[in-house]
Amino acid sequence: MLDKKREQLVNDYEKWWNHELDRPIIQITLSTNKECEYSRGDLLEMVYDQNVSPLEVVKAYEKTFDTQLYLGDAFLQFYMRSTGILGAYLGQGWKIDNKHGTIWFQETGQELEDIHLKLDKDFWLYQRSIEILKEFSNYFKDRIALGIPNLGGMMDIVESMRGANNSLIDLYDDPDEVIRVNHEIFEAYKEAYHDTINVIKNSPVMGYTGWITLLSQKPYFISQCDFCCMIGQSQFDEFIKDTLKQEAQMIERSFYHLDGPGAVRHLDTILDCGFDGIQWIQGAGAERLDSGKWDEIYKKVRAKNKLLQVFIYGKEELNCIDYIVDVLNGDTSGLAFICTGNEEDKEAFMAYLDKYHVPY
Amino acid sequence: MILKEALLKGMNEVGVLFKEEEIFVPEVLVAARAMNKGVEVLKPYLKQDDNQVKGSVVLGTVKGDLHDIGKNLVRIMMEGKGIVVYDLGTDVPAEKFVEEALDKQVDIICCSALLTTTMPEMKKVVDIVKERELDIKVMIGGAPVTQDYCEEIGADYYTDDATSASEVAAQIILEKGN
Repeated sequence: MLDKKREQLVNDYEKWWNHELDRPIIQITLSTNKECEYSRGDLLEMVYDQNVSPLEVVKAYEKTFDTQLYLGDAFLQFYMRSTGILGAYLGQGWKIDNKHGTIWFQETGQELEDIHLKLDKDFWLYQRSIEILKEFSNYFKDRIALGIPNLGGMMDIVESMRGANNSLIDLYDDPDEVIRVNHEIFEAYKEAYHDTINVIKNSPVMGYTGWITLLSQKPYFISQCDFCCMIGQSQFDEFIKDTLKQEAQMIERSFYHLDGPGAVRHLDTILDCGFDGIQWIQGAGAERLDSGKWDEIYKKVRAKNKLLQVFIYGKEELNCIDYIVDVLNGDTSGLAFICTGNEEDKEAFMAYLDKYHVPY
Repeated sequence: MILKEALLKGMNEVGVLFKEEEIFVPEVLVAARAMNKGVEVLKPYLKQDDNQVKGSVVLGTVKGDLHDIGKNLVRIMMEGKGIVVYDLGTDVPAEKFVEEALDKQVDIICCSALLTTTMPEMKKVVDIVKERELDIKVMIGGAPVTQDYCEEIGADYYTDDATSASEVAAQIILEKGN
């Protein structure tokens, strides 16, 4: 049985997915002064370490959850990092950089025609991904929402396996083989998606989430193709578009991660692929969300009746919420702001919850 | 003639088209491959004077960052301008940039980063160059890098795309009178 707060969250998010919530989603997660025993890199290492039991992973995350404050539409959630893990399921090696909290999936060193991919469901990392999800479900039950591991984008995995240079030249030298490998990865993706989604489906958890931490009562996942920043429209149509359309069709509630200025040239095509929502990330170094440079993105996404999500980093960016709402002529429905910051700025964040009528 | 008027001129045109988003990264890579093959064929026939080299740089992606495509584009564009590029690859520590720069006696150190978390390594490069009072310029670039950051860490130049990086490098070398 969900407590009152969780029941409200579930109801509000369902309304939001259906474009029926008359306010934006504003999710606020603040770091407190409590010392965090595990760094981002530590948690990543534990998840990928066979010698650490799933229960130990769960307990480490629990300690981390305890150092954070969840306000507004925020809730406890877990998904297995990191982007492109499907490549590891398919045999790529990896290296964890604890200091930066990053994982690097390594090039396979193979020629394109030598790459033949099939998901081995007995592979320990695949099994571990499922076991960890189950352990989180058993431990937290309806206090948490779970997301499937961040599988990655098909062409992003091809790039990761072949290296950026090779994979880009492959588009000219061996397009048929690129399409074949892309197809094999997508077949594995579908299997991994359904297997892991089914784990969540059969769990007593609060709902589905993902690395964009929205809450959903129906299967939800995020598609991406960072590779598209490097190519033009014709190659996007030839190598990327069809797979994205199939992803959008397969995933009941689908989001697309639009990452950086280089991806914007493909927005019109992406909007026609059938995703339910678009996440816009302008990327570090690019103009802020309220710079005026990205207004067309907000307008285009909402004009197509797609949901729109952005991240708000710190109280300094809170006014970007007002800015985007203004650009959209005051229409707050279909918008989600996922905010992070520090507890010392709690008042500033709370003011935004009040302003947009978001329950604490 | 073939080198100056066809290959290098062609690559410069590629740089312009890339900057204007008329062509994209795969086309640049394919063009660079064609140019390099052409240079290989021409090599036995080139006289010393035909050599366009006016200066040199060491180039790399900073420590903790394995992204290489931005760096590779910079290399291609600089080579297209006849600059000798010593490519140190990815995950390059600050000390290595400086050691190689001294060893190769280059004019410029070029640091690339795609991750904000690795950008401080650029400052380390700048600090070492300043500490040792070396006559080497430091250029920085990469998606999260900005002019503000360049000024903050005291680097000499920032550019926001590979073509501009090659133009600035050529200008620096020209001004140094190599």
